[in-house]
Amino acid sequence: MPIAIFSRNALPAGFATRARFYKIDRRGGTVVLIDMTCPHRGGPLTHGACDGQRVVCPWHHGRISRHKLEQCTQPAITTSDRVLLIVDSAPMRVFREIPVDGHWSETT
Amino acid sequence: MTNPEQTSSSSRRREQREEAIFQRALGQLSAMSLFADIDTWENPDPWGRPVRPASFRNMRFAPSTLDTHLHYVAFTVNRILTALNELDFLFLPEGELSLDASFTQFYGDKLRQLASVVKPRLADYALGFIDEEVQVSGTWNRRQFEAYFEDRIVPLKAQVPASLSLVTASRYPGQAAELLLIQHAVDFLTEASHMARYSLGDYGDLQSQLFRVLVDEYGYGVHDTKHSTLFKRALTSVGLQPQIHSHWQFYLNTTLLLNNFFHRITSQPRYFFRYLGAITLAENTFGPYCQKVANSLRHVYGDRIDTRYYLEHAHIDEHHGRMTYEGLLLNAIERHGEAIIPELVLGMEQTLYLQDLSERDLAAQLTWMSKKDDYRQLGMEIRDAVLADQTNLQVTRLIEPKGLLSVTHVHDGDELCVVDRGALRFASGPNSFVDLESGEAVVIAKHRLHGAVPLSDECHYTIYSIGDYRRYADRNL
Repeated sequence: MPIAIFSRNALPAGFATRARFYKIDRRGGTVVLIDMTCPHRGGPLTHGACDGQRVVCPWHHGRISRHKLEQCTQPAITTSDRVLLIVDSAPMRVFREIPVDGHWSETT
Repeated sequence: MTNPEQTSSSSRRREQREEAIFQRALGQLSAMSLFADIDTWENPDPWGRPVRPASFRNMRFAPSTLDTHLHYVAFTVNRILTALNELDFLFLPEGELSLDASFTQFYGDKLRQLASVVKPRLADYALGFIDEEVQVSGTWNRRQFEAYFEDRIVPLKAQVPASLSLVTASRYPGQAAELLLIQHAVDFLTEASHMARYSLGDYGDLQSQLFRVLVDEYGYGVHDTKHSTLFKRALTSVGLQPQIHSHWQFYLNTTLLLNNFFHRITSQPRYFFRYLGAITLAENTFGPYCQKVANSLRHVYGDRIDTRYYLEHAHIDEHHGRMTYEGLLLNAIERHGEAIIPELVLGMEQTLYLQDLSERDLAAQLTWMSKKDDYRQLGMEIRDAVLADQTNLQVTRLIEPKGLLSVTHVHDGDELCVVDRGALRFASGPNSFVDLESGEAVVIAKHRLHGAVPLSDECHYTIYSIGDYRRYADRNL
């Protein structure tokens, strides 16, 4: 279970590991890590559209509660210059921006 | 109904009232003799804490930030806070005791009352920024915590702090080693006193697990093996004073900051789980560190130094590392659930963060001491240019009698000290002096601890606040 390390000043919007998708968010000054992997077949909710209070998975159109996703934050440590994230495996793809619709971006 | 304007104005009035009470209490503290200046580099009074009251009387205290944590105001806050944090520690010197004014004042009601007024705010000022700088979030489970500990904490055992190489490579290794030992003295002379606060109360098996560590620290009641006794032998073996805070003037700002952090997390039970993280980190990394310190001190002093303190820790902390990790952390998670994990991690991460600040500060001070002759040379090089520019600078002219010691302090920018008449001993660390005659100068680097004492019957000298010496020099030190 590796630790993914990013510079605090150059945080990506999210990233994918071998099996999971993560979104990095800020709540006040605190960095939070949200697991955006669809519970159905592991689809990338990071890339899902927002439909009201639900995110629609781009793979099978499953509708997942945003509230539930945001409640279940993953372990993260923020120090003055770095952010350390405890993840299932090493990040393989980093998303500078998460291509979701405007509504989702604004509200999370 | 109260309107928002009334509420805001009444909250402003309350803040002003609290500020006035705080400032008044600080004024009263500054008049107490325990904070008064002294005329020796070593502090002979076990209850004396010289803090340059003439400065702090009019100081505007403010919350530290990462950018300002080395400023003089922050240093003064840490010094006062250290003094006040230890009011519940009993200090008795060796030998016959006269319960004189110092003792009575240190443990008297007035100081306790003033401490209760200023301490919470001073602690917020000193330590508040750490909560901004280091945060832990998310829902953790035990498996993730174990992986974090294995990947993040265990490798730290192999780390070699730069400060130890700077000690052995210093042009003045004896002085450098003294500075290192003095930083250790802040905590090691009262070793485990913070921890002992958590021997009180009733909290099940964790209490007994912690007590097992405490018992080792106190040498199982055999004074000869108590860790602080071993540390005193290390000090005396190289000519340093074993009495509490004898070397108070040479504690660095961040050494006190780290110590104040441990006071905070042991004096308020709400921080108990954070403390468990902090002490587990310490017990897991301190042993290997102590072995490296012992090696460095041997390199400097040869067989003269008594390293038993450090070797004892190199050994016993192998056990304490395991005892704290398994007996405290994993045990606490088992008993109280995974919701406590973020606090455990925060304790480790905030300690690591403060250790890093402390290591950088120590490394900078060691470099400053090693280069004391270079700073004198630099002072001579830029003196004429600075004097020519003096109308644009803040200039402080001083006339002081022989022996009037300027208690150690720091400045927020570079300064140039020029002796106009007489002779001045300039101190850049313990026993680290540059003696300046009339016309001679030294650059005082910003944030670096220093003091001075006139050697002539009267010494006239001038301090030019130059901000950054590179404005006048064509080289970097």
